[in-house]
Amino acid sequence: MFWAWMCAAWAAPQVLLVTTPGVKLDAYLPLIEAMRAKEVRVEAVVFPCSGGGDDYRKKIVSQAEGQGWTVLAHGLGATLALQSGVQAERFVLLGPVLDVVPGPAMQPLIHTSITEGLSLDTHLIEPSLRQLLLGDWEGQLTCVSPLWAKEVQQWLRDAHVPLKLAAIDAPVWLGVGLLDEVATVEAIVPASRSFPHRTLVRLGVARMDPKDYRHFDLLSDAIPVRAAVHAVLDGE
Amino acid sequence: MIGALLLLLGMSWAGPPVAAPAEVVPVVSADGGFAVLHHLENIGGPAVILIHGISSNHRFWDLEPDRSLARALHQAGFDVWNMDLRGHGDALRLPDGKRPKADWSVDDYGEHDLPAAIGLVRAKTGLKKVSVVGHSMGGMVLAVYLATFGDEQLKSAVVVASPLDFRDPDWMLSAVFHASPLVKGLGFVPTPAAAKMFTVAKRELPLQLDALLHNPENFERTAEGRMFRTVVSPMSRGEIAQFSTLAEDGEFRSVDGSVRYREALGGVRMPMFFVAGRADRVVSPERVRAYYNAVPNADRSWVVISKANGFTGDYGHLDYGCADGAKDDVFPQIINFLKEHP
Repeated sequence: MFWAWMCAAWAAPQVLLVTTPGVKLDAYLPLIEAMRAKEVRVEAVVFPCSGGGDDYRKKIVSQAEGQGWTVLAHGLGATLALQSGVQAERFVLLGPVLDVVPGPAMQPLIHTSITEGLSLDTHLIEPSLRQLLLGDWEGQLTCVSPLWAKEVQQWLRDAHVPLKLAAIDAPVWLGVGLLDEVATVEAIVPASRSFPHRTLVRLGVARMDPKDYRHFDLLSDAIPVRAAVHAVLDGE
Repeated sequence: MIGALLLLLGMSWAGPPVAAPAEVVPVVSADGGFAVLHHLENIGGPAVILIHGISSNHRFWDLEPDRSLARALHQAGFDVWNMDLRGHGDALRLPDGKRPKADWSVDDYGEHDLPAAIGLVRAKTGLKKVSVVGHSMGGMVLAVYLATFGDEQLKSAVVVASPLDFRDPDWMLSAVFHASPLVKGLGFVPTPAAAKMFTVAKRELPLQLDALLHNPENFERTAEGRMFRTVVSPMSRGEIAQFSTLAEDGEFRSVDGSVRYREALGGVRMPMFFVAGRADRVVSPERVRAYYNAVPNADRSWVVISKANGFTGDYGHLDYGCADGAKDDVFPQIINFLKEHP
């Protein structure tokens, strides 16, 4: 009895980190290191530069088989995780792309021509807009499957992300940033109300944090990272 | 220390007067309320009424010649009526010099002050319809008006950073809503004195309190100080009482609780333009979007003022009328919309 309690008390959650296609695993290091410091076991789902969304979603489900995972994801990785139907015990999501409200900043992405050999680091959008959309993320982007990029482009064109949020039974924790131009508050916050079990945290100045956060700040800044790790551990 | 602070507050001044003074036109509403319109005349031009936000006044839209939607509209040919709602700005006191009893609510602005202003402008100009531009609570006043009277007398409207709900409040808003009953007994809340403190201690305040109201990146410091000294008027306990009900479920309701304004605007069909700011920490863009969604039958358009969208800055709550770049970022958007919907 005592040992069973000890094991339960010390067993940290197992985290399945779903990355975003086109984003290097290095970008997730602050998050991974913060979780490892708390003795959380982390397994990452990393996507190749080929294949489409269906392949990626299958990969998530197959990698999650047989375990009680807390799924941790950011941006479009979160979208894939939610679309995949993965059986998670809990979702911890930073800046998840749950919906799209069209705006001028998205126009270059909607109209750009997608070709083979696509790299987010050198294609899609010019550097100054990329910096405004994503934040300081030089060197963290890599190749991406054109098939996947076209799927995302279609979501932007339709101003709709195909998701069935009301069907997600697991508790969902969401951290959002006011300055996030990819997962904008005007898109995420209303959409998130469809989750049956949701905790929404507005990270930033209104929470007395030192700054507001852009899309990739949510992965790199210590405060959002700490909030996500806390949300992972809080599920225990 | 306190003495020094008081001395500094006492020495604060409202800054240089704006260019060509507007004609001051008193407005007395059906319930006896007293408001004021500042008229920049353009005979034959389309009429526009500007409404300020909570705890503000007409100077929000007319801070100084270079930071003045009122004057930009006037230059563009509009007949401009810049409003002080009852208890604000030049309507702070009644014509006899007395302070009015501070029991009025946002409903009173929308059910009495705005209809009186619209009636006066229509009568003076001979126009059948007028346009309205509302900032923050000014847009909520418009919602009360629309839910009560419909849009028959309105040509078009611009809603700048106005919410109809505060669902999912952040920590700070929750604290404000829950604390608001504590100040209901005051009558007026002396927000101008608090704002003047920002001008003394701005950017050194703990918790970045001033940055909740605006984005300091978008202001030259002299203008920022002038804004805090000029555009703030006291809040009434009636307003606070109505806002304190938002703590319940975040919905903006009538004082008697019978009207949920987000659900009362389905009949609105006029053109409406919604403006939000990416760094607006008071009314974040999804709250403005909820207003947009509340008028599904209107001819709607929408913009978020942000760097990524091609503007000079990520706009905070007080930036739309007063920021360094407002004349390039915001005013042309509003003027073009109003011109495109004559």
